Amino acid sequence: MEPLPVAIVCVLIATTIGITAYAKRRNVDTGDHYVAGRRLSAWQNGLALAGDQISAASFLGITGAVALTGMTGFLLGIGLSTAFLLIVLLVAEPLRNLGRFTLADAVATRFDGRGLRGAIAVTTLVISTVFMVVQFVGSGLVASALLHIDFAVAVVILGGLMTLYTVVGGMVGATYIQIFKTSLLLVMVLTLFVVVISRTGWNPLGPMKEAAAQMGDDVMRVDRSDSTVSWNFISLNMGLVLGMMGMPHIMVRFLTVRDGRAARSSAQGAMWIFAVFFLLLPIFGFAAANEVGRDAITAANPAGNSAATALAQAVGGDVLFALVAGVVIATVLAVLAGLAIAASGAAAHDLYTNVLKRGEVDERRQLQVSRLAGVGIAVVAIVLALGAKDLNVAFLANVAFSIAAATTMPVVVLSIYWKGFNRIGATWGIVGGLTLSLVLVVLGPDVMGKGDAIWPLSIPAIVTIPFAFALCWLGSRVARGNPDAQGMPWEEFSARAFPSRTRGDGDRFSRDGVAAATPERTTSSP
Amino acid sequence: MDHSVRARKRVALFGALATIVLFFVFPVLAVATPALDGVTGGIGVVYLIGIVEIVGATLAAVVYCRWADRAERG
Repeated sequence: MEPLPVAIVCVLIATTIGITAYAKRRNVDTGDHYVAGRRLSAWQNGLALAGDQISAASFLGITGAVALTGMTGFLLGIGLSTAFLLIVLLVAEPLRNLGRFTLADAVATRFDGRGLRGAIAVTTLVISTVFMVVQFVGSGLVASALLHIDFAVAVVILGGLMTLYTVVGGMVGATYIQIFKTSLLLVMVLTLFVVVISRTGWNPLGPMKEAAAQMGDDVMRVDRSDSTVSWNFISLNMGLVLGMMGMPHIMVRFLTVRDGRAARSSAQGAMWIFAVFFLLLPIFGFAAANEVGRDAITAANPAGNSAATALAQAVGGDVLFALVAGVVIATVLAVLAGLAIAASGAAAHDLYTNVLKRGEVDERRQLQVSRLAGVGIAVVAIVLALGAKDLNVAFLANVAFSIAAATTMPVVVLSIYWKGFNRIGATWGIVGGLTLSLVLVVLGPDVMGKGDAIWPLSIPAIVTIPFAFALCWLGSRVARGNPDAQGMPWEEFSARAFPSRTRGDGDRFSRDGVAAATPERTTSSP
Repeated sequence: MDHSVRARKRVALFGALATIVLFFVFPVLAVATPALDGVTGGIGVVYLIGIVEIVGATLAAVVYCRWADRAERG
């Protein structure tokens, strides 16, 4: 092992453990554990949200994809800003006002029912596990390259650290670590950018021009030689842009802030950060192709996941390589902690407390189950990651977005905006969307192989999203005469989702969250 | 339903619809037509449009947040 990389990684890990120990004092009850006591400010949550997006999947996956495929890889990350604009417009504020600990809580405010809550919880677990696998693969590759240890050993160590952060620090710790990591990652990315452009005459777009000069203008164009690839990109972007509104670990972040205004502002703040980040990734990708070479990148990892760290080594030597790799590992740990909390919340709060025990669980027991669930989910994700080493992590991340787009997203959006929606429609939509998504991913080329695939697209969102919406509509039509399925009166629900200070709602929501939302709120309306 | 809630929902839904339509024009044009195949000074038009999309979405979020803050205050 080289002493410098080991020292940098040890310092970063020690810092995150210190942050976790500090957060432990504030991680007292279930509210602290799941949603950081709903005390976070807009800037704190904005940094944490940005950190969730500028993850190993995007940094390693998109840089690698651009290095190997040119501008075609850039399209992997193009939809993120649009996805967050949709979050700001449609769900940030209502989720803050409706939810308590989990995504299912927000929907359950309108439709109470154990079947629906259980379906949302299972979907949350599936999405979170897939996304965890992505992060484990990315970080395992970097850690094994950096520390010269086996991939499996690296994944197990990272899994252990993630579990420690989750169990001890809860959402408070995960958020502090995420803020630390986002700041670190931004400094690292800007440092890498400065070093890269110092080699191209200080022209920020120099690596692109150099790539076009070396490899021809075709690297600046999107590859349209295969129509299946084209359809896949459209499907992938549908999944990313719409699926973000259903990603449990992102949506839970909106439950951690003080009020609806902070929820909106935090999403907007995060957008500025990852706008900078995602515009720099193609520059890094082309710089990697120029400085490292496509053959060397492919030889290190067929999916291109090593391009970013190889670029750091090529332009900045061992010091920059160690810094970049160390920060990537810290990045992954922070994202993993947030994912584990969202997943363990679904298992402990939704499945165990509300579905199995019908709410008859004391707070201490719920915390115990949540921590046990966090360990269990980590073990499952680690085992799956060991078999997914050679998959492009950006692709795999998009599978998670695609599943969210066809399950939790339609249910959350229709719950907030469609009066005619009901519990049966929500249940049909989420169960049908999840089933079709999983079936099509399994029948697709990334699981069955290109030659044997029954379904041609890697990302099935183009079919599964309309299917899920159609099921939501159909179920709602079928059950429109069933009074039990209609849930909370529409006027009352809307007033909770969009409180107005002129009605006297805002301050009470700000202080107490959804727990304070009582029926008399609507009676105070003019 | 309260008038202010109705107005906020209307703006959110129309804004979201416009966002989705405007966004998807980009990947569809990029992967299905040669419209964005141009290269200017070694830089792909796809990247330049990507900058516009990313910065435009961020500015739209700023505008909406300011409007929503005002609407919330009444």
